[in-house]
Amino acid sequence: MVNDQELWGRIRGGDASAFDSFYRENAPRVQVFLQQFLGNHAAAEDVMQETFAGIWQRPDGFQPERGTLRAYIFGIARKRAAEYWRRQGPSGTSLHQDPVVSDSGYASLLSDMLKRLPHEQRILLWLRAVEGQSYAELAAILDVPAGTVRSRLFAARYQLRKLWLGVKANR
Amino acid sequence: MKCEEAAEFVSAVCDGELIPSDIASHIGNCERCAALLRDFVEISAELRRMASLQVPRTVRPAVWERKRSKLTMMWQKGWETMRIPKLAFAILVMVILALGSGLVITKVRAQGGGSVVMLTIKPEGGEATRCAISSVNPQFGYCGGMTMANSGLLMYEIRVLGSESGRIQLGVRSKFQNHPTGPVTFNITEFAREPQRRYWFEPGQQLDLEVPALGTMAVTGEFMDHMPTRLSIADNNELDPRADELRISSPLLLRDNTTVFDFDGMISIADHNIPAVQVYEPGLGRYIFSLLPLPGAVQAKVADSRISYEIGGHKYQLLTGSPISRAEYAWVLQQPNYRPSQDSTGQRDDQPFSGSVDPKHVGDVVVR
Repeated sequence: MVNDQELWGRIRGGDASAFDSFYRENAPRVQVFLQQFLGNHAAAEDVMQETFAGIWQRPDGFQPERGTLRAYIFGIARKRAAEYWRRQGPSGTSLHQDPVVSDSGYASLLSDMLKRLPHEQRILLWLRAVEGQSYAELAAILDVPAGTVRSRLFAARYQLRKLWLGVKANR
Repeated sequence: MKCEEAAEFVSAVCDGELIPSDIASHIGNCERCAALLRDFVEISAELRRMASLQVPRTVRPAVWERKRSKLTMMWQKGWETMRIPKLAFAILVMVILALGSGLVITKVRAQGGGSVVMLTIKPEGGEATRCAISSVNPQFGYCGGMTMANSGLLMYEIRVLGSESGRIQLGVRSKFQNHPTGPVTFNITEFAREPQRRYWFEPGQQLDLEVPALGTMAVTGEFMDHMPTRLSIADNNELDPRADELRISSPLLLRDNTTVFDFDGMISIADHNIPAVQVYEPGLGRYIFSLLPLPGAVQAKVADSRISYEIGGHKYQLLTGSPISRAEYAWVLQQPNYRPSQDSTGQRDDQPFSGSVDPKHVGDVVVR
């Protein structure tokens, strides 16, 4: 098992095979993360590729003491997504929204509820609940104190719970 | 305690965080908070299930090709004034070529009263490099370089042979080696036996010089009234280092504010291919500065043109003549017992040298 520092060394050294393995392992999750915020499969795929290509071409930002390499990738993906939104301008909000995979449970409804949360709350909740990023890593990704991560996570959960309970009551 | 005060910590417990004991106790005894916790846990689980449904099994395949930095070496002003002995330089070239990196070594100094021509040399299938030569000062009267062109290696040397009313006569030697395999050595004395072609050159004009087996090498240039700074000649003439660069320019190392070494005029540039620079001073050993961690190395702070670190209770500061790296940290390995004769480079123990080094080969050195 290669640790982050060793893997990063290989990536910096131009080891395309090591980077490709890293890409194949992490890209699907980065893509679905981006899909939550861009709402569009094609856009998420493009931004995901931009994220990994950018890291490959300029491998100079990862600091092991600030978190894992995976956390670093998600942080870059988040920034790329924000840049994407800026590039798209106001018309970007009319991006075609892909339907969530058909499911008899709450997945589709939950996806819709998630979209009703502010961007930062969605990012935070996803990275914590789905990607398991620690508070310290989230603080580094969002550049906020760890205490702020806790309060913002609570706000996101509380907001989502209100929507969640409303839907459950009507089913 | 009110449930509102505990609510934020209910979320934290859901995340596996430890919380103050009084709040933990309240949550355990409060049905409302317990219900909140159950909902949070359920929502988190449902989010993970939703994500699992959406994660694609595969993603678009990608080809990872990094833009290769050009291999360029430049020399100027004569060997005797450089801090690299001829032999060492030749071997340094060999090592660099064997490993495929980029390095720029030059030493120029501002001079007055001379006519300087800043030449741009662009070989077919390669990137442009620059060098400045003086039409009146023989010390700066020539420059040379090695650069990748198509799939081979181009070596060239340009000398000022004379000048008259707005034009200069150039003597050009060039040699192209296609598809070099294995280490390539370069010896300036042997290169001097290559035929020299003479051209009259006027600034603003483009000379298309024929290079056998390669094609052409375009030379353009402009007059300047001074020898430019080193950075204007280096591979990347911007003050800001490239993403993967480590630039050590005119390094001065201080230990507790006392000078350890002073390599005035030396530039060594490492990049992702060979991400470390070594500096050897007889009697002091070798210092390796790397953008990657090395076994036995200490982490150092990089800020603009300074690298700061501590070893054995002593504070070290490496001061350089230009910004070192975009990275915030570097690693420094000091090998006081290192002798060049211990490894395969063949460099002399009594001559200082500097250059890029592959950290993978640092461990090969037997330190006595």
